[in-house]
Amino acid sequence: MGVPAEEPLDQEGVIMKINRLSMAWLCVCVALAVLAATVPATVAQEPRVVVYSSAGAEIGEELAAAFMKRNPGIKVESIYAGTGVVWTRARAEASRPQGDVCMCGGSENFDINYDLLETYRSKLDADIPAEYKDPRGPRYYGMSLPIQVIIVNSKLVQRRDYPRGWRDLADPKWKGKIIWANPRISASAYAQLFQLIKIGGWDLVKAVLANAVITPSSGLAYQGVADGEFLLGMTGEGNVYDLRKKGYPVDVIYPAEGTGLRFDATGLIKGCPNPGSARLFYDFANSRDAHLIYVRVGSRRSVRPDVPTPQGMPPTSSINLVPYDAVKAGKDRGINLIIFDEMMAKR
Amino acid sequence: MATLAAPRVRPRRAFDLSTTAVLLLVAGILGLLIVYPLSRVLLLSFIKPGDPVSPAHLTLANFSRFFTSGLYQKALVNSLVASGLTVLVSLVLGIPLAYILARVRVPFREALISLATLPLILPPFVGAYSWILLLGRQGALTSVIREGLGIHLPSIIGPFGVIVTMSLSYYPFVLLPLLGALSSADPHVEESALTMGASPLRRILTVTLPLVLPTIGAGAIIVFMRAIGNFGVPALLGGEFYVLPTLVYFEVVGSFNLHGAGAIALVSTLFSIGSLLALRYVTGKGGFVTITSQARQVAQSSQPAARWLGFGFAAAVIGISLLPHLTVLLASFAERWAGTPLPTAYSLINYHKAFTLSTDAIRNSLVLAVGTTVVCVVVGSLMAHTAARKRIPGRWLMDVTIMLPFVLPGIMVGVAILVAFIVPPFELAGTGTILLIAYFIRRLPYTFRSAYASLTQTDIALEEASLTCGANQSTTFRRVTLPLITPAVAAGATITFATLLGELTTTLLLYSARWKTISVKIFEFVSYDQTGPASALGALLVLAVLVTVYAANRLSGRNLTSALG
Amino acid sequence: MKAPSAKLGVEGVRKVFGDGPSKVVAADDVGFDVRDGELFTLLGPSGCGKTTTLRLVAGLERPDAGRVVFEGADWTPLPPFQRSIGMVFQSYALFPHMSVFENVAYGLRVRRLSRAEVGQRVNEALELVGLAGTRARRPGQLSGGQQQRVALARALVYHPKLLLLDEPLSNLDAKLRVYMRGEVKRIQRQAGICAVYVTHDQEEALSISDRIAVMQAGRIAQVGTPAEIYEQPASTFVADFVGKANFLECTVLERDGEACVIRCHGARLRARAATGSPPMPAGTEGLLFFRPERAVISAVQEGASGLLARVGDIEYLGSLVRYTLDGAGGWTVLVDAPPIGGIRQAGEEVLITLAPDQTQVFPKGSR
Repeated sequence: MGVPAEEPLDQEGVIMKINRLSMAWLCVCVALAVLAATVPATVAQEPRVVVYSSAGAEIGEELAAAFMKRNPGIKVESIYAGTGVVWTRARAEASRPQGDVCMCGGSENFDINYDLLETYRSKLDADIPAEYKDPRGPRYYGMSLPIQVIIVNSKLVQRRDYPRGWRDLADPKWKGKIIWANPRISASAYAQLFQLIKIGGWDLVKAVLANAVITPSSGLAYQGVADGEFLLGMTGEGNVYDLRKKGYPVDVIYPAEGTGLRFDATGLIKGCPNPGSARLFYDFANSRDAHLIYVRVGSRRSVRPDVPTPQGMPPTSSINLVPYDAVKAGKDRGINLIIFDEMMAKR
Repeated sequence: MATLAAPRVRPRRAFDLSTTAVLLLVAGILGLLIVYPLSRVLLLSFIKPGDPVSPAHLTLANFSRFFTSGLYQKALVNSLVASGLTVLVSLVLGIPLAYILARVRVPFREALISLATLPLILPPFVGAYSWILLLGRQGALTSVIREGLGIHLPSIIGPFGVIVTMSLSYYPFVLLPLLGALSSADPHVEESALTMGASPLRRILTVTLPLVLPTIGAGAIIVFMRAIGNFGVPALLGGEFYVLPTLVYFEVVGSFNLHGAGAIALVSTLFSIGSLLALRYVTGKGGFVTITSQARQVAQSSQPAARWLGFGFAAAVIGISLLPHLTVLLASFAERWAGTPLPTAYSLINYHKAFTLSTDAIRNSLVLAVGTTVVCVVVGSLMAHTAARKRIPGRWLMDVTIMLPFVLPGIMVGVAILVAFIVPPFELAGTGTILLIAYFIRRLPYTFRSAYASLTQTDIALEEASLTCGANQSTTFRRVTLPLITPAVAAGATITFATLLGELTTTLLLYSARWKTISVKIFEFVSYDQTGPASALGALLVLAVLVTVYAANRLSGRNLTSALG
Repeated sequence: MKAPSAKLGVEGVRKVFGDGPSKVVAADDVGFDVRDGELFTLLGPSGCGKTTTLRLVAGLERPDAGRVVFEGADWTPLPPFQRSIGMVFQSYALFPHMSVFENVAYGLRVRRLSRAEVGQRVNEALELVGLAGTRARRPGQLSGGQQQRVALARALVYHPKLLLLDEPLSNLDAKLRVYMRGEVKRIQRQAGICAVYVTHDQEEALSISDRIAVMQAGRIAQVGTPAEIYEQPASTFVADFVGKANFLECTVLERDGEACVIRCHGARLRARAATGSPPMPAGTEGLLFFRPERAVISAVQEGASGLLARVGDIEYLGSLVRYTLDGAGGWTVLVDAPPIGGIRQAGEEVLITLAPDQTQVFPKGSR
């Protein structure tokens, strides 16, 4: 009787304590995590504006900084994602919009999502040429010109073999050497498709399709050429200049048949949570100062006539630009994509 | 003895793990967080776009493209082929590796096992691209392999790249649980086979492997589910090798057609859930390795030849699967790396940039990952206990419900969560909570399944013994059940935590400026064309996970081996 | 009416598992009493419902009908942890993550006893089972017999009012089993606790129990002391299950109370009607039952009343010799005899004689 407790007891006592301690910790952790997570994003109800952007974080951050310098009371919160994802987000949030300003890809996207946008005539409306703004509302204004070009790997393709225009992409010698983003996922790729149809009908599309690999990744459409996986691609000119700046062996080819005149746009989201600051920001995004940022930081060609072309790019006037019927392109999108799908599947 | 006082019986606790209360809780969580948001979206797949959601408009029209469209049929075949082959390659890599690590005293065994968890965690959008840098036409290794070894590998762009990449990142799902099963399997059975004169290979094939077949099957199913639901790898490496998630992505992101997307996702889910139910049927019949108080350690071979051969094989497989991680590490120190096999200038500038620009994101990722992991552990164990121990009808339905967000494409789950919780009374858009919910339902299967497997392998008499000793259900759960399943749950939790740090697909739809995560920052850096800082953050993720895995191994005294049984 | 000393009353409990075609009635109207300090055994073949009955007493299963009463209090709605029981499992169910000490201390800790008291009581319990030296070890490091003792200590340490043992010895080797059953009995006596013991081993049941309930297909076939069960089995099932039994077809010729005269394979024998058996009027077909060691074999002599048989197999078991005896009608019986005065030869004609009070006659077809 009364044998003194030996070390097992101590050991057990310690384990018990650890158990209790860890339980307590667990509870505290859960409580803290849930608490931290449930603090609403709007806890700081300071004036702010939420920008949805697929123009890249680089432009976004510079733009935000410039805006906040002029409007110190307003905080810019930027959400970055690809064009498709941003619009998916905006549409899923339609019942309670969370974003204020959309800076998301070509004007076709704005036409497709027209119901999500607010009609607002910008104070700088007069600065933007008529062909670069919404002819109706207006619900969007042009921002930059995503001129579609052919990208070529200059290390793997001899200069004399460079294609000169869209039709040259149909040459069988490029079989398997062309990468093309799927027009279902990329508005630019759809614009390229629409242009091919216009130039050479579905026969041309079929011939290009015979040479091309259709990727669901729009980033790969130009990175794949830069990395040498493919020799040719179709993309916006800005991407090519960016790659060159970084040292990749790529060249730009402005197609001989001309390239469609499209424009990237910005718009206001209907029912947005911060309408006041949103309009301020929207007006700022249309200003010359903002457009200078698009040019300088993003190598983008501005729609404003009073803004110079980015360094190293040929002047807009020297490029063979042809009209692009965005309305027809949008109207035919459904049927064109289905024809494209089947043509691709049957190759 | 008679002189001692009668035992003081503690009054009954107010909260007991009584069947009704727990069932209500479980049903509530599943209903609110999984069934409510997902059913709203999946229901749309039976309604034509434009029609109102009502029973009168139910239709199968959205599925018709599987019969009419060559693209859809091709994608379906591709999905099944790629996932099937990925499972096969994962088994071919995982089974011998597990056997070696379990039964041979391999040098640096612990380190190898910790490293073997890493393939699971590199976000595919970084990992897959690394393979292009390594094995692409201009890749760092391509010329080495072609000229040095004389081997012409198929192009990395296409099915070959997709299957290789997915296999090399998913084989740990086979390896890790199998390692646990092989380490804890009753050695008597194998020894009896030895005494009957069976050759070692024959013994492995006829006795050892059949014993752990349920574990292998479970691992294979997880690989299959992950592979068939993967969008990132086929998108980046597939070229035109389209799979079902590609089509889902087209429908959601290309045209916000949830009706069509739901139909495609359901077809893909059908295969995942089908394979899951098939596994339940198979393992329901097969035997399990059981944890009792009499378990004995398995003997490990310590012959030098076996040790070093084993090490060579393990190091080769694990090393190859970690090449993308090394690429990221290399890129994180690269100041300049464009179009050349190796970087042309090195510095620490990337880390400086990554840190100064991402402190909030690192904090957010940690808070969300830790919070979600804790919730997953608590809820997952509770649900596993309910599923394994209570006689409730339709347990398979619970299993399927929990697996649903896991097997659906992430973009669908993100949209479903956003649409469901943006409205009153939730109004969660932009909060951390909505990310927490999305993470929770996407990762719950890890802790649930590991706890469930561990529970079914634990003698129920242990809990009954506790009850008869006078401990109520909650004390029993806390003092007996929980400690017994802790290694398995810890393993599940580690994988949950590790994979959450890099989650991007659903995050991109749900994050707000206040809740940017590390993966969002990586995405931003990439969109800046700042692959350097992005790689630095990626390397940081890998390091964080490695530390977590190592710590978990040390703390639990076991390997992350029993997860995902 | 229960005896006043009854502690545990199991009253008409019923437990059904599953439904539809897979329905199994594990316990069907099972009732018995266990008296203070008594070791009561549930004995039966596997699947007879004995373990289910024990689990119903423990509260690990809820009965579909009937009650479990302890000291006058209705235990039926109580969960196991409110029943003041100690239970030893077939697999011992020692907690593998705890040391021996922690295992035994578990029941005390959940009762929030002070540290000193826990230490003292655990030490006493471990001494009681003779394992004072293994405190710090893990269950996996103990032999089967040691684990069994730890399980016993764990079940007794907090002085439960009722001890439940579910085939506690079945995982031990034969010799240890015999030793441990003495230990279990000793420890149970010393603790002065009433116990319900489940086993399928009839020898174990006979040696350890104060009283036995033999179970068959979810029902209780007979309750009695070991001697009653062995000597006066209530049915051919009990007779057959407990110990070795010989059954021979016979016809009742006369009956007078317990005593009767029967014709069995040509012999006219005096025998005893089974206790509680239905009336067997003359002409009833019956089964003559006797134990192998209760028959006497001798050389054939004229005029003696007995069964004639020929020696078949001979099994030498040391303390006795087991003869397989074949009768002319194709019947076979076993007879055990001490090897005093030599062992009989195979093929030898012998006469089997039976004292009437060592026999029982059951109506044919009863079980």
